[in-house]
Amino acid sequence: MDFSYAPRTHGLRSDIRAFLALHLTDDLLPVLQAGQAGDPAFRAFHDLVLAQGWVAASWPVAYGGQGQDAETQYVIEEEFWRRGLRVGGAGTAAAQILQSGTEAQRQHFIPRIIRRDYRFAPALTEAIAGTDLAGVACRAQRRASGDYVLNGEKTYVSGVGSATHFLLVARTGTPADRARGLTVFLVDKSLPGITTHPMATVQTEPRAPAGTVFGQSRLDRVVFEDCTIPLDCRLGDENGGWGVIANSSAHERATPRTWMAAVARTEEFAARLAAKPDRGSAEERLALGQLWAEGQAARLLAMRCLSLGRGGAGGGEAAMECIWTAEYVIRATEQIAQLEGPSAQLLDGTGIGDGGLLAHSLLGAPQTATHHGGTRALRDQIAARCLNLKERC
Amino acid sequence: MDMALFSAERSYCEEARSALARGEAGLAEMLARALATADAPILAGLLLEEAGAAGADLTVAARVAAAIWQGVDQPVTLALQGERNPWGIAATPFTAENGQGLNGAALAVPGSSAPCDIVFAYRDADGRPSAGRIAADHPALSSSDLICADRSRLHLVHMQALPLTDLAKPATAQPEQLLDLAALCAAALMTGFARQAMTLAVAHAKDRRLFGRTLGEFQVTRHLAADMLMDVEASTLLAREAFWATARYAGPGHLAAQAKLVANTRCVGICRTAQQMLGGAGFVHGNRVHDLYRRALTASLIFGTTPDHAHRLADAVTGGEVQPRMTAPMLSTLSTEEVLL
Repeated sequence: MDFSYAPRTHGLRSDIRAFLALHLTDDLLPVLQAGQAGDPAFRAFHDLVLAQGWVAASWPVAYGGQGQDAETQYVIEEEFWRRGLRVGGAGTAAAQILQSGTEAQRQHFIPRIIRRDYRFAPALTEAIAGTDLAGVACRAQRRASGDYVLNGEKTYVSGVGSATHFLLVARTGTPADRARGLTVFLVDKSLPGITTHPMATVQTEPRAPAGTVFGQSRLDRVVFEDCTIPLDCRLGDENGGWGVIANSSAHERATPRTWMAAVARTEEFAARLAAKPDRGSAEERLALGQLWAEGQAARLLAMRCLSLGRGGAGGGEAAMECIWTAEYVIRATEQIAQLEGPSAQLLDGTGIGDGGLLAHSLLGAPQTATHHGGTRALRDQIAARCLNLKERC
Repeated sequence: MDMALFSAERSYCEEARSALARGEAGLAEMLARALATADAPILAGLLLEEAGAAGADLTVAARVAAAIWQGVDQPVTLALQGERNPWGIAATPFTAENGQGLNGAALAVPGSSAPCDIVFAYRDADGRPSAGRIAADHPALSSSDLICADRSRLHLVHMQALPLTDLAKPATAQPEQLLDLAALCAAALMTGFARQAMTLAVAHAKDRRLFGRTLGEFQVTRHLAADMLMDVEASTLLAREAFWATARYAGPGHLAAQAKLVANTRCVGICRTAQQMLGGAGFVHGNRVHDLYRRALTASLIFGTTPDHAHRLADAVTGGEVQPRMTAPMLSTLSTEEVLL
């Protein structure tokens, strides 16, 4: 076993830090952290990072990537995320297109996603089909011409504000077909028949400060009414959508962002205690030690997925990381808040304490337990894939 | 980076499994083989995982910790802590006062069934922590047997006016490192207990039928099993990283505290869950899962409790030993050759 990063990544860390010291100004940081990919300042910074070869580092050169290894991309993501920036990966939907797309789709979409010309929002969940993706009701009806007509609605869609496209799963079979009757589409957001309706979330009013890292300030309900989707925007086979989504989700999970977001409040708690003359009360130090050790376990579970290789952590390892991290972040924020006292629940705008960072994190942390199908579905995955314990043995 | 076992490590584990069935001779052989390699701590850690799965007690952890510390396997007893908290170099069980020699009492974890030396931690006349070694039959020592929850044996060693001049100072007289290694070795042993308890419980869940289904077909059982696996994997990764760091750097440092803290809570929890999954059988004397639970319970209270290690970590994080960032160890101040932060 070898827990070290490859020597080739050492200089890379220094290079990224030097780059950020030069280009990441105080004015620019909030723009980038807000994630508004359409903003000119965002685009200009992204183009600079792209020119350094730090976007989609592990992706094939043929599709606009850098052809390097997963560890290099992980290090890039880690260094940028230390400054609260999501840089390194190709972008939403790229993994699914790489795995299940036609060559024409790969050539068309992936380079544009990497350049952020195209920005996908994942339109998977519905009000009655979240964890149970097989229950999707949004319907795509195939016409004689080969095109599809889409009707239905999606909920809790993130990133709609700056998105140009949706990665959408719709029912093309009968409801009784369940997972065998689903198809994935790459839907242009500007098509006629699409309306978006922002939903207020726990982070909307007041808006969560940058660095909250849990929960979205905006989610959308997206309605499709007789929206015509060209045949060449279907991803994978008709009724093969379950495989498109299920097999590529593990690919997205070999990232440091999840565990780094999870330990952010613990690291700040540690820094606050370190700054106190007595370095914290006995209670605070006990909590810090426990949270520190369990946070390190989150880091190792993520590094294990990386070690197995992007896409190679589908045996349950990625699910373990997701569960551990989600439950950790809920526990950590609540425990730290209890130690901090009344100010820990003050939202942004009160002018007291940390600007609402902890309070917004408290509100948003439980949302992490709903990611990737939710911790209940993830536990089913682990039991089935790693222990051969299935619903019907 | 490759966190899976290399083929040589996998072969070593397989051989260790067979060798441990031969008892003392097999253990000594495998430990000697580990110590002869450049990655001695890594292999020794794997040996402890296998020993834990086979149901060994803390004797093996003490022996391996001393062997890594000394670089050779010589049967010794470790006397590093008093009978109560706290654990740590600030609370050595023996102290030298007024030039009258060493005094105090300590729990001694046997390193061998045969009479052997005692390696112990003490505070010298200037208050500095140190480590020493003395023959167990020295006239300044007396001991009594204690029966542990897992039915293994500890000794309570009393020391009265032991002359400092009678001590042998180990070549690598770094008592902090010895304490860290003892905690880490106990953690690795505990991951072995937990993995074996989980394996037995899952096998039971696949076999046992109730209400027309196997136990494992109930979602509540599957989720308990998934949690057991997640917890044992997390505990194992922490222990393995600490052994890896020991092989590469001066010692495990605070990584040992991380590993022992999580093992204390998660590995005991895994054994407890496994015991519950077995129902009444889990509470029957001689049942393997029950015995593993006892082992884990005892190990969680020796070589540092959860609060002990939490405070050790808080000291490291807030006191400048490491930066308050959860980086990989080679990116923290543990290493001087690759410090990047």
